[in-house]
Amino acid sequence: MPISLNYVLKRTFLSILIVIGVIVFTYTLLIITPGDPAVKWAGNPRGPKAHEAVELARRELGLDQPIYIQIARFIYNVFTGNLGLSIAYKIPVTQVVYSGFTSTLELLLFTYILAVPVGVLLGLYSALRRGSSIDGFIQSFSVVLASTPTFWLATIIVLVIYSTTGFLPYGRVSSKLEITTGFQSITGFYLLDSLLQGNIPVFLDVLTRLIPPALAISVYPLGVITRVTRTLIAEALLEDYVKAGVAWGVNRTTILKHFVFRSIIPPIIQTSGLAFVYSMVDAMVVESLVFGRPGLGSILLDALHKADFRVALALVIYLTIFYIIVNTLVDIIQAIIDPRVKL
Amino acid sequence: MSEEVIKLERVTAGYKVVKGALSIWKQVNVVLRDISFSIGKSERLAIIGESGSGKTTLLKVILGLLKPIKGSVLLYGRDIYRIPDEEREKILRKIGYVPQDPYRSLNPVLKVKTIIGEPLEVIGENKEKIEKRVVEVARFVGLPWSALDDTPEELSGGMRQRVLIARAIIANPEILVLDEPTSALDVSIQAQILNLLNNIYSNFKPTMITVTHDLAVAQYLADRVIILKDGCIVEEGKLEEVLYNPRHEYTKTLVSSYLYTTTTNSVSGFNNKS
Amino acid sequence: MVLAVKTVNLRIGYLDEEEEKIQWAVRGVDLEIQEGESFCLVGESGSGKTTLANAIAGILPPHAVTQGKVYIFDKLVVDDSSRNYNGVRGRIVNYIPQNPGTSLNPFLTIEDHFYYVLRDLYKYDKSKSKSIAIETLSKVGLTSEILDYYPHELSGGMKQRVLIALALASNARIIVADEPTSSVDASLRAGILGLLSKLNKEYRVTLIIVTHDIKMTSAICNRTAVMYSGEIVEIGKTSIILQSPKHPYTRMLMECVPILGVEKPLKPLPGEPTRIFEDISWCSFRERCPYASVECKTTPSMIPVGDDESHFVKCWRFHEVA
Repeated sequence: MPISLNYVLKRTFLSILIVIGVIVFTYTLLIITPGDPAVKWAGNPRGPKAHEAVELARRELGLDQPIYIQIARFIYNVFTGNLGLSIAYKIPVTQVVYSGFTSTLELLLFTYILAVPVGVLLGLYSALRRGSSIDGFIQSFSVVLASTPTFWLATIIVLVIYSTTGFLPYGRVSSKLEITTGFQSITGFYLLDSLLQGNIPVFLDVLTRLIPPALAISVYPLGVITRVTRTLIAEALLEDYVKAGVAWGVNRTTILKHFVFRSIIPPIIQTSGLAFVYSMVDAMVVESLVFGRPGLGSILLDALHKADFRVALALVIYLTIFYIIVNTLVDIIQAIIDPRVKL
Repeated sequence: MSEEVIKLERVTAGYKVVKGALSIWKQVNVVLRDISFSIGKSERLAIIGESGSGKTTLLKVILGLLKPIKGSVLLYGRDIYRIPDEEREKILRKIGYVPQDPYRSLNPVLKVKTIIGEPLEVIGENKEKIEKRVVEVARFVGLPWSALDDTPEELSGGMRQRVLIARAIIANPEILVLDEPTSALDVSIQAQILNLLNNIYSNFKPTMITVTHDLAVAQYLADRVIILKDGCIVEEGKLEEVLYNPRHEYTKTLVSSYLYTTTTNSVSGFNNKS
Repeated sequence: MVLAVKTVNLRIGYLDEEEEKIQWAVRGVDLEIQEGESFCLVGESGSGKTTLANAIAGILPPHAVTQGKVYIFDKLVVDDSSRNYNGVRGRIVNYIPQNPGTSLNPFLTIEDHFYYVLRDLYKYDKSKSKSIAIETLSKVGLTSEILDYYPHELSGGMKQRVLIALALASNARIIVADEPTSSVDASLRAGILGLLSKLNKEYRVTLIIVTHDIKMTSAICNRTAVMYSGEIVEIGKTSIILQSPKHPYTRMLMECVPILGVEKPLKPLPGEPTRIFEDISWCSFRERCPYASVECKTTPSMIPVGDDESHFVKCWRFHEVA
């Protein structure tokens, strides 16, 4: 599979431009929305030390300097992760965002690593039986899945689990277990960390608390990917080159693997990528409001409650950058796999 | 020497292509090089070329759709790319054009009678006159009455081709341009269409240009031919001279390939000549 | 002589879900093709020639409905509604598709194409399939450097030759070629036909060519069958069919075809090739036939013409055909 380096470079360069554009746009919002940007940056302080805090903020942002220096400095700060201290907690903002980020990302990755293959297999199963009633059923059912409101489903899941087992699936890990087993967070991804430390009780605990929210979030990608896969495979089977392959004597497995699958992987990756960023919002809502887990959702809520402007700003910027990175990766993977993309 | 209706003088034409990592560099892809020829009134010309020869581009240049990079395109003595828009439109209205591929050249949501009447609508004729002409022309090309209210999707390939021809002749064009008029059709329908085109010619004597890759079709629809290869004219002249006694290597290849794939006993006439 | 292909009252149709009827594309074909023959199947659109060819090549779609029998070298591949081409596709019958532009897998290099086909058919490994690929590609005039190319990097003529090489490489005894020259530029057509002819004469491959171009048949086939509306209406030695066709439809085809160097008027019959999909008990050509008479209200049978053992016509009135 040839990698067209030209395309990769072009695409990466383009996405960097977009990221810079986003940062500039955000900074512009900071400046042009009503009110003194230094006051916002200082977090609307009250009391006797307010004036000093605002002046400090003014110097931090460099508001006394020409606009292009301000913007350049801001861009630099974003890339180096230096966006000041959280107004509420006095620790670096990026640290706050990162801690939430790993929790939410862990949940999302866990969900998608399971949902995507299941969706593809279901779609394949359905496509191979196209026209039959089971095919029709799976197609309709996947629409239902994709349209199910996640928040509602999450609440139902909690109720069902609690009423049947008495166990309330909240939080990310049992704090009691954390203390008794001396669990340390290294990467921020608890499943990984607990395995690295050989801490099985914590591993199982984290897993148990991951499954219910993952279940709720998985419903949307499952529905979408099943439908998309089914359609793609059914159409691919009608292609001239598949017909030719069959005529040449290529057997069914090879046809599926090398004639059909290779053509559907790029669009499936693209669909999954887009669904992933959509699910991010779902996850933020559900993890914080229904399952009480730490993560980007609760951080955002917290920042808004406490007028922690810097955290909110940082979260928005880094989340957007994450979206752009995912999109770029999806495009690049597509270019790698499909030999016809040559730009 | 009849009046020169169409004359191309040293025409070079091509398309701009975007290249480069940031898609900002433009390059020109030259398709036609130094093309010169002329057609007289009521003459029938065939442009013979294979895919990639530039025949589509040549048609676009003649139809006023693609301005050449160099050279001039004269219709009735006027360079159509160097006159004001109004004048150009008046001249271009004298051309009736039958595009390639009857399966993709018709608007699928319009009724056939609307499609055929379009050229008259554009020049502002009144509705009754248009309706009358549509019926007249439809009958002439052999479209059944019922087809007028159908959409193109409901018609066969041969019928669609007749719709395209009807639309091209409804405004009484002095020049008729046909792009591969029979390639997409079955043999028996092809014969019907060829007969129809000859009928149109004998009744109205338009200046005709047919683009085709089929040598036998060229024989039926033209008196003079131009052989186009890689954007250049490699040979031209009267049909009998060029095809029966080809001089250029490429023409010889075309003819011999045709012969190889068409040896039938009824080709005795040809064998005598060559 | 061994029979390469034999069909017995073969009928092939497609189920129209909306109208809940079967549209018959092939209606009662009895055909015998000897090994080593080069055979042409001629017809316009709707004649059923492609469907018939697909049935021989083993690529009928799953929703097709079949009746009757098809034997490939004595192996029963179609037995009324059940079809079984295991071990036949690729190995015994191979297929050259009509459109070279879309018939190669865009995700595989040319070398990959050969590898997967030969691996699945004969369990050859990479090096063996590569050497066979080089050998067959050179037979069609292509060098080994195209092995690393992807289909979209090749020209139309090269793709067509790759398709022929693939059919050669599988060493099949029957090759079905669907309109081998329609998608190809005029200057390359002679080459393709020459190649196919060589396959037949030198390697004794049974050739079945599907075409709409009746004037091409004598360049490559010694026997021709003309199809109309799902039936074979005339069959015989190509030279005889072209010289003295006995079926009104064949005669019309010959009179419709423009031929370079011959000044003759074209005489098509009015109307279009009819697409009859139901079962009828009368001659399908009746509406357009200039010789139609009372007898034609019953479907004609295949009648031998004169003393020629190989020439048959499905017409009651063929004696009248000039």
